[in-house]
Amino acid sequence: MPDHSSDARFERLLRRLAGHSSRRGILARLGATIVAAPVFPLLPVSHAQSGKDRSVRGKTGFARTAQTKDDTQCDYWRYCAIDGSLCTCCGGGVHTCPPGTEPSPTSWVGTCINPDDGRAYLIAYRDCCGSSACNRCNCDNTDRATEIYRPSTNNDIIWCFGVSSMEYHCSTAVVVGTAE
Amino acid sequence: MRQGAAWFALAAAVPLSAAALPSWEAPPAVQAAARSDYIEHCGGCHGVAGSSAPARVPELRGRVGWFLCTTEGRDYLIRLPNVAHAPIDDPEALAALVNYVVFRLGGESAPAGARAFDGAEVAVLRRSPIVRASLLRERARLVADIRRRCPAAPASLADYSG
Repeated sequence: MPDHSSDARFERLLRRLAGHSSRRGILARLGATIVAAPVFPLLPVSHAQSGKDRSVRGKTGFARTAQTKDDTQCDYWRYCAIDGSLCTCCGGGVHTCPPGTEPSPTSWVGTCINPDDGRAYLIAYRDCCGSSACNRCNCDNTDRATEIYRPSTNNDIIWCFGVSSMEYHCSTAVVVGTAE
Repeated sequence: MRQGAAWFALAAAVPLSAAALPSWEAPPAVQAAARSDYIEHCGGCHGVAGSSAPARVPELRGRVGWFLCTTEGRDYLIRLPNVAHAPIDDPEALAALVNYVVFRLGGESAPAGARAFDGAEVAVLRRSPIVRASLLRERARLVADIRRRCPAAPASLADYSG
């Protein structure tokens, strides 16, 4: 008997629901939801598809601890993928070669996050060439660096191509754009 | 009456001239991503603005568009190993990168009416990268053919010899 009464209650509920709702209304709302879904940015999905995680958390330990004040230290933010002597310790600047050396027109390009604004920037590591190695402030950071078979993102190469001497002196870190 | 004829002539001329100009249309975000990808993956050697002199790297600025003069030249731009194997999985994104190179860095060098690459074309072409031929010989052969078929192509296109 209790079963019957619960059946009856459930039937009454369904009938009330059926009587007060129209199938078209439900279809319309369902349709609208399906059509509208792509309009809303499905961020985690599109982010995963793009394959580019520019967030500080998505980076290596370097980006989390990088600083923006002292460009003579290996943990200066632009040096996330530098390999060699910092020109800032060799009589040059973060984007200038020391006197007596020549900037290479070729370089490799890394992507570093500036902790001050949280944005990712493209950094060209241009070698200064034509004088014996400076050998001060040697750093080797490898954010996004690849093995030699992908030379465009390898930092072991001496990039003194297109200059009069292949002799490596030090490396600069020039901001060449924002990473999108 | 004369005015009416002028309007008619103008209306007829607009679609023609629009079709004749080499072009690549894309939303600003796509263009910005293409430029960023170019700098990250190609700009170290080819130069941030497509100019690599004095290094012995093919000059893109004002020149690369000529490769669209022949079908083989067009295919070559995608079949280049570093393009075909670029770590950019999405063919649409790779097409945008190459379109940025050809139509922005290449400037006026793309032949009139040249059409932009799309993801479908890039997806097919990148499956057959040039692996067995010498890249230098292949490039020299293509440039000779381009200069025969498009006499306006500059002699400097053949400058790069490795």
